[in-house]
Amino acid sequence: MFNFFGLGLDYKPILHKQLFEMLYFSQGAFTHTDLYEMPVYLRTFYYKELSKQLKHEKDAMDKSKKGQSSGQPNIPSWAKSSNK
Amino acid sequence: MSNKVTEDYPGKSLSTEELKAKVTAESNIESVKKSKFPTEIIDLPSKGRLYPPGSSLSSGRVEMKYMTAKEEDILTSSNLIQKGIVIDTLLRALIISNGEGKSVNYGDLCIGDKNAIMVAARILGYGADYPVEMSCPSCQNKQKSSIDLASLENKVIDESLLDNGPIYDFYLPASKRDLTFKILTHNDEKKIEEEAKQMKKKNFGGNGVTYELTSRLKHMIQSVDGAADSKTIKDFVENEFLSRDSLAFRKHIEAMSPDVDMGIFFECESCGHEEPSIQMPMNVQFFWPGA
Repeated sequence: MFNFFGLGLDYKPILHKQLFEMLYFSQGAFTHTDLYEMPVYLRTFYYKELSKQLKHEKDAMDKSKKGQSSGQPNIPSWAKSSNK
Repeated sequence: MSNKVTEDYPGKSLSTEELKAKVTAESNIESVKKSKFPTEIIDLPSKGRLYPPGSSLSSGRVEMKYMTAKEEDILTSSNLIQKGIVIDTLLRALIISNGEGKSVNYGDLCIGDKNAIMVAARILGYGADYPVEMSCPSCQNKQKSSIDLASLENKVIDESLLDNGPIYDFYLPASKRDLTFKILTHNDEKKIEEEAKQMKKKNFGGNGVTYELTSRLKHMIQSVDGAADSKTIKDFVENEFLSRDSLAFRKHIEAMSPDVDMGIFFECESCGHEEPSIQMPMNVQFFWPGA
């Protein structure tokens, strides 16, 4: 038999932090039981997909904020011409 | 909320108590309680030939569930790690049946079959790619590489030696005596470990000799020249078993013990040294890739 004696306590918080993040950010898509009894390869897949989705949403939000950061309202061209 | 639930049960308006009772009853249905998990059938290196015909393991296969967070919690249990039973507890949790619906007695498994189940658990849980760091036996240079666990094959053994099991014959070449023996199981290994602990306690502060080898031989050998009593076997192993015979016997056991071949090809990037079969290292990445 292999000379391997387990992972140690350090790994437990990492595991449960991942479960918590999936519970918290999936907006109710998963329950704790779902995640706890889900095959590891599936859980890893969903975790990666969820991360990608959150990153995508964050990027979109940043982009939208950047557009607004000039402080100038978007004035339609017809309104600009009528002001002259 | 109550309105929503009542919509799910059309035809009558239910009180909160009635709804509670109905939902509780439905959630207690066996099919709901026993959530169906995906499983895989794993072929054992022994092909079931080491086990007596009545044993569920004679099917040569086990049905395993995929690893989940529940099993990862087992791997991180300090209590189990301290007791040295973490892998056994993990494998017990993963084995469902013998592939034909019969339960498996974990204690009857031989070491080679346990190794195969452990590798299968890793592949099912985290995939076959296993990153390792290996030292060159020649120049000690450390290099990173990746092992494809799915490419590991069963050890090549002389299968004809497994006929007429699970008790086998062996003729000692030097002392010309007849032995019968069996291949050790998980239960035997536990007994040997326990005996080794007891011996260590007795010899504490003594000569420092460990008696694991003789203890293993005593558990393997079932009879000597037809005598199967434990006193004869003990006397034989301790006083009459010649080193030449012991070596021949151990070589014979090695040649017939089914296992997963953990030897992998190694080529040093630094000095070019090649090793056709180096023992696969075991590290934390085995059950925690990306750690």
